[in-house]
Amino acid sequence: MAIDWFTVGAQILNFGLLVWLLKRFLYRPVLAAIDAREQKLVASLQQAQDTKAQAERELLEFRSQVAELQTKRDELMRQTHQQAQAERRRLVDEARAEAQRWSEHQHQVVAAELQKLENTFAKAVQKEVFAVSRKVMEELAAVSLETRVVEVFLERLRGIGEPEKGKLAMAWAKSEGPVVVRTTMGLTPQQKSAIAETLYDTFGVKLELTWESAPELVCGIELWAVGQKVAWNIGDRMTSLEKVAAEWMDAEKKGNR
Amino acid sequence: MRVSPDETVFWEYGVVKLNATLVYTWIVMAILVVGAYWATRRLSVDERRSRWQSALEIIVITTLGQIREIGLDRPEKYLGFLGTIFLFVAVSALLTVVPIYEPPTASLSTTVALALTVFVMIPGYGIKDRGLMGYLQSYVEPTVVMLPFNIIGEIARTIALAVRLFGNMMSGGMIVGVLLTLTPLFFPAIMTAFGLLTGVVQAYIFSVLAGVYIAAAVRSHS
Repeated sequence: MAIDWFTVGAQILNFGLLVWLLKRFLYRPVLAAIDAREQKLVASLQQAQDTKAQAERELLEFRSQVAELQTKRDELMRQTHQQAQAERRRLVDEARAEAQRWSEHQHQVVAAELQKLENTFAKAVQKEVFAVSRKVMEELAAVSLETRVVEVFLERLRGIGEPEKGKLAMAWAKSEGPVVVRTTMGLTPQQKSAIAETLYDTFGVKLELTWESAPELVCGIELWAVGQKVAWNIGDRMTSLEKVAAEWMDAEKKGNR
Repeated sequence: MRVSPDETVFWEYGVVKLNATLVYTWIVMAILVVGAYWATRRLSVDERRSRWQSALEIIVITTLGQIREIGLDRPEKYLGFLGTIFLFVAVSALLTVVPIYEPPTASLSTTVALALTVFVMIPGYGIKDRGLMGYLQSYVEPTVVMLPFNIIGEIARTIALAVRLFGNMMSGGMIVGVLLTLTPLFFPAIMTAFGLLTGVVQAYIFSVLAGVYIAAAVRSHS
């Protein structure tokens, strides 16, 4: 059980060599691998933290953008709503004005049509009255309507009051042109001379007369000079008749309601 | 009865001799170095790694933890020396399951060599850490009167280290040899298994004691 000092020395060398070899092939590589893994884990953790921080920043930014977009959208919606309201009001106003214009136009058309109808009706009535009167007068009095119209006209001339007569005489005396006599029917020479004589007798003035045909009078006679007129025609009588007829129709409408 | 593998000499020339202690030491060294090289060929730094690498990392990390628990602040500095003591002694003991193998640590020459290495490394680490004067000053603390006692203590604990390891290793083989003659079937197997345990425990004790001595040398000034 003695100590072999050669073996002791050799074992010291062996042990030293073993320490070096194990450091070289075991401890250093394993420690390096552990360190590398730790660094990698630390780097991964750091990266994860950075990524998380970045994600949180982007999330905040995203939320901010969403809020901003929400505000902008609300503002745009409000503006669009206001514009739509204004546009609606404008279109409604336009449509209302157009309807008003159309309605007025229609009223005008109807009124014109009515006026036309009234005129047509008046003329038809005048003609009918004229025809009936003529027939009645011919059958009962053996006098033509034209003759009677002239007679009535002449009576009217004779019946003009003195103030009126003086005014007309003064006006006709100042007249440079002839006095126009307008009739719906052709006058006979006797009737023309009767009119001329009656004018002279009534006004005391020798007038220069011109004879014209006026079918729009339906039945009647007019005397024109310097804005002064003396007339008798069935149209004037028909105007009165129209007034009476209109009043009667209004009364009938009120009664029907 | 042959007590030490030193007595098995294969070749001899003068004082130079090739005995079983050296041959088995080389076998243990070859196993450790080749195993370490083979296991660390392709170390992975990723989360996925081989079982061998995991086992190596567990051994290294556990050893580092033990060294740190002893009180050495930077265990990586002492890992090479203390870890090699542990692995060498443990593998020497574990290989006793192989027939005809004799642990080199059952040779007093080997344990003396290991103890001398520790005896040298203690002041080595102390001087490296504290400087020569600082370390030498620890021998005259708390008073100069303690100088001889401290020197005797140094030598005594070195001898104690060597003899403790030698005794345990040698006794394991001796017990198995004695029991083989008495009850050849049952007890030798149990005692061999028990020897494996005591061998690993001795490896742990030897390396921990070496660490404690180094820690005392390094720390005594702080």
